Amino acid sequence: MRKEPEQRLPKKAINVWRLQNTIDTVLFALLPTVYYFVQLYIFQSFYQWITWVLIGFVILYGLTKIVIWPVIQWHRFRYEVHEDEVDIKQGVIIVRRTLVPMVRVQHVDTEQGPILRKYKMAAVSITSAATTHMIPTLFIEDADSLRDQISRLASVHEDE
Amino acid sequence: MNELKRQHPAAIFINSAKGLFQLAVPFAIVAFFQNILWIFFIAFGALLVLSTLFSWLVWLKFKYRLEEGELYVEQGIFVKKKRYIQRKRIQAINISAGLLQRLFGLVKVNIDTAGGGMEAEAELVAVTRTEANRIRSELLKDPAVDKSSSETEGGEFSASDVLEESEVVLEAEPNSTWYLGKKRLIYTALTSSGIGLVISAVVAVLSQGIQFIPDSLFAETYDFVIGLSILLLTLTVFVVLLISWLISSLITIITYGNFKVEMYNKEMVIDRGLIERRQLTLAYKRITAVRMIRSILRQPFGFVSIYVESAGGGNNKEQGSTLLVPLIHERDVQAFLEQTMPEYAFAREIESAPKRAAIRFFIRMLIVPIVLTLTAIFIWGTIGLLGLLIVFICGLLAWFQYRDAGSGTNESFMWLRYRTIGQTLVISPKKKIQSATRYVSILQRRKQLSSFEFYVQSSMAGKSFSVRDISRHTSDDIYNWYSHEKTIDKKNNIKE
Repeated sequence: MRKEPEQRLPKKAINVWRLQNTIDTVLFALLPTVYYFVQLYIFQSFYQWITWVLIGFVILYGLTKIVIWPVIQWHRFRYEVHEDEVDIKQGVIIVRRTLVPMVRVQHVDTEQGPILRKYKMAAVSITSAATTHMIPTLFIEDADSLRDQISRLASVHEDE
Repeated sequence: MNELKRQHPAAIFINSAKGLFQLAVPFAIVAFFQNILWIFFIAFGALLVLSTLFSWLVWLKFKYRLEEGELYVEQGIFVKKKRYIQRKRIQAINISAGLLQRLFGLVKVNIDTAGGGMEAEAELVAVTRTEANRIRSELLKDPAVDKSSSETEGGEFSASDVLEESEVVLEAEPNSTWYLGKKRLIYTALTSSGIGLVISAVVAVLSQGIQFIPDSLFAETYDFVIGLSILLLTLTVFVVLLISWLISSLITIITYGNFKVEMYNKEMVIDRGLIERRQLTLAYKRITAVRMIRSILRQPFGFVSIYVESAGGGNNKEQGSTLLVPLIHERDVQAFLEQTMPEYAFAREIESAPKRAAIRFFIRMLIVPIVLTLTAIFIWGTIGLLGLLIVFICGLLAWFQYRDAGSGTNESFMWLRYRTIGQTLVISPKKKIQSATRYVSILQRRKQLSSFEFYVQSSMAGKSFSVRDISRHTSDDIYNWYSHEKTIDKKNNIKE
């Protein structure tokens, strides 16, 4: 097998993902909360113990997604921009490795949501005629220069 | 330079009739059941006038012109839209003649461009056949002829004149033609799997029909039915199935009747349909993948159908693909490819999934039926054993899925073979593949297995094809094959 891509994301990505997953977990926690009140006030015939099972699920989900998941995710994520292609390896349970040839790149964007903005970071998304690929958390200067670099390489390859 | 043209005036009628029909049918049904048919007729009259007026305005404001291989369209009643469609962006031209068009001996022309999504970029609802052919030849067919005239600058004013005269040349004989033929059409119809859809329709109609049976008769038959129960039930199911099968066959015959494919130098023309005739012109270089499907009903007879994926021009009913061949015998496939798309007619060796992968196919298919069967036995006792039948069928399918999984490459093509229920073999040229991904899950990793997926452009953005549980080594090979990087580290190869 050819060599693994070498670039890694900044360590700070772990913090970003932790924050994102915390928000996920909080949303998920609405489920037992809503169930608890529905069970208490509207449908008294519902079982009470289900609330505890749901809370258990939320805690389990939160623990894996906030504590363990981002670390593995960071260790797994590698990417490399070659002259002819972008090579990305990622995934926690299923490890995917994707090749996007420069010839196929239609456009490159940097995107930034509120959480990424807080950390002065941005995501680079690479779009072909059929797919979109993400390098999710880079410092904004790096993201910008990566975007420019890919778009330069892609335009060199303009003709088929 | 050409003058701006309008569509054939029949477009007014066609547009308004189509709009009215869609509106009137549900309304008429409601009106009929509510006994307010007279309101319906008044409303219908008013609508008729309005929609004719509207369609006339649309027709009046819709103008188009062909200029040097470019289509210019101007339309809009309140907001005027002007659009140029360049020849090089056109993916496919679809000429069809629905019932309404046929009344006037006219055709409809759809012009698809890249990235246009589901809707055609330009639609001429009613033009004459010769006009449609002229548009097609100017926009797609034989660009070589046109190029020579535009390259010798100044020849552009005569280009249109030449085209008018040289209709005969542009309507040149195809290089070759493939016909579906009557016999194959009937086989296609009998083995079409559209049955499921039709069953639900038949059941729906039958259950509606029950309302109209008088109560007395109903009561009598009810007693009668109770007496016969099982026998009649089986009979009813059988009749429903039979009727559905016949209807679905008939639909197939109507849509695929007169099916033929004509091959020209740069494009092919797919012709089909008994009542509504469709004609799709597809440029070879737009084709991104060829799929050969062996459906479960057809495989035992050795029949294959062939679809192509193309950027633009797909048929919505076929999930954005184009049906190239409804039915062909396996032994004729190679000859057909040679005739139509010679670059696809190579020997395809397939590296099958390794033995160690088999167990994963069985687990995937069997886990749900086995759990369900055990539950059934637990609840209902011995009768739950019937579930074993389903377990057996799923096991058989798993075996075939395992046997069919595989892949292969040569210098410029790759192909994957996999089965869900029917078997698919998809072939795609390297230069049309948009991206490729290798997947390795935790469980696959222990067994040195991997899945592989690639994307091509189709008429609906992208389409992916994937094969599961091929050997890790094979998928690494394909990954390297797809890589454009020339310098592959030999040292790292040894490490594997």
